[in-house]
Parts: sequence; C-alpha cells; structure tokens
Amino acid sequence: MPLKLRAGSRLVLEIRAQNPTTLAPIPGLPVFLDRLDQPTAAPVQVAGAQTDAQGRAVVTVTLPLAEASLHFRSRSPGIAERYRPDVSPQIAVEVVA
Amino acid sequence: MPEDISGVLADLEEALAGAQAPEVAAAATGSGVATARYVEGLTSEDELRGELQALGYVGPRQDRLVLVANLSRQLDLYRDRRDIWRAQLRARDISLDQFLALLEGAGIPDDSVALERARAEAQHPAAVLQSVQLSLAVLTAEEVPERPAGQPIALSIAVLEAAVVAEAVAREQTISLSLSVLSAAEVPAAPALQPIALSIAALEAEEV
Repeated sequence: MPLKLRAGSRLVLEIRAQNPTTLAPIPGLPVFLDRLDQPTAAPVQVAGAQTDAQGRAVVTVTLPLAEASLHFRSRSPGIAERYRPDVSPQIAVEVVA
Repeated sequence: MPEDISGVLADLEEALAGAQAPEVAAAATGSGVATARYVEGLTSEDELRGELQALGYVGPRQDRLVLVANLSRQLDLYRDRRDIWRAQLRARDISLDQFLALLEGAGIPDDSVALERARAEAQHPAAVLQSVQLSLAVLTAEEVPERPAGQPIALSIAVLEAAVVAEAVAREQTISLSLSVLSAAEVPAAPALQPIALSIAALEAEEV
C-alpha cells in the first residue's frame, strides 16, 4: 500500500543499521537513500548520511512536483551491486497532484 | 707472528669450524627426510624413531628431533585448517564469529584471535558491510497544501558559480541556466501573491 502524498511534500525518513545477528545498532556507518522511479529502473542516490551513536540516520527528501510512483530504499556503500532486498526494505510513495 | 700469517690461520680456523665430516652431513640430510616423512603422515612416530635410530640418532638427540617433527606436524595441521576456515569465511560459508570460534577451539591465544579478526575485517570490508541489516521507516510526511491554479509567482535568481559572473556578460553571449526547485516544502499554500521560492543556477557560460 503506497503512501499517497501531494507533489512537493516533504518526507522525513529514518534509516537504522543493525547487526543482523545481535540486532545491536551500528554507529558511524555511511548509509544512502536511493530512489527508484520504476521498479526495474536504476536507483538514483538522493541522500547520504552517517548513522549516529544509536545506529540511526534521518534524511529528508522533497517529492517531485509531477505525479509519480516512487520507491525509496536504504543502502550501505559498497554493496550496490550485491544489493539484498531482504536487508534494505523499500517504501512506496505515490505522488499525486 | 707476522700479521699476514695470523690472518691466514684465522681464515683456516673458520673454514674448519664450518666443515662437517661427510657422514655427519649425510646423517643430517637423512634426519630431514625422515622428519619430513613423519610430518607428511607417511610414517608413524615409532617408525620415525626407527629411521632416526638407523641413521645414528639415539638418546636425547633423537628425542629432540622427534619433538621438532611433532611441532612441525602440528603447525602444518593448524595452517591447513586455518586456510580452510579463511576460505570458508571468504565464501560466506561461515560467519566471522564462527571463524573466530574455530580459531579459539584450535587453542590459539586471544591476541592471535584478535589479529585474525582485524585481518578479516580489513581484507573484506564489503563482506562486513553486506551483513548490515538496514531498516527504513517514515518518521513524518509533511504534505504541502493544495495551491490554487493560475497563481502568479515571483522568481528569485541565485548565481552559484561566481566565476561565471566575475565579468559582465556581453550581450552576444549565451548563458545556460538550470532551473530547479530547491525545496518544494517552501512553496506556500496561499495567499495568492506569495512568491514561490525557486533557484536559478548558472552552470556554464558558453561564448558564441
């Protein structure tokens, strides 16, 4: 169920980095936010941040002014080619006029 | 004694010290072969002792050679196991924690385990990063209010590259401009005469 938002809206997203085994937060990790304009399209990096002491990074994105169906996903650097969807979930956003 | 004669004698003494009788040299080579056969698993410890006995090594000297052979055998075994575990770690068949647990189980000291951890993390940063679990969540969504159609807008122009505008632009020159909305959240909803915040950046000045 995509999140429906008006064009030009501002979205605040939180990325969390955790050890998959212990679920302990990973501080100081560079993370990126990618936008996919189509499910099969190449991702576009729209923001970069570094996780804080609690393993969190907050990024703000502004939605485009045209109607669109977008997906955002988080990613760590260096693993783009071996991107694992199970560790980097996507958020679907439908931009309406 | 003349100085030149003493020098010759010193050289001769040194040469004699380094020389070995032919049978001693042959026995030394033989002990190396016998030890290597044991290390490679071709012979048992009893057979090694028998071969050393046949080569003339008895008593404490034989014990010393057997001890060296056993240490060498353990070293080879550890190296083989460690190489296999490293390969499994690289292939992601085992995790870093499992790798370190195997090393600890092999009886190596804690500081050596720490060194192996540092080596693994330094050599495979991508592997470490790939095991990070990321989650993404929406904290807030600030939706802009609907804007009435036909509303007049005012533009503000910001020149980003100062070098382009260091000199006055001639009339016949063409400047490529890029128009982009920097932050749509700054777009006001109303009233009608409120300006929309836009930014025009001069990317390059191309002379015609």
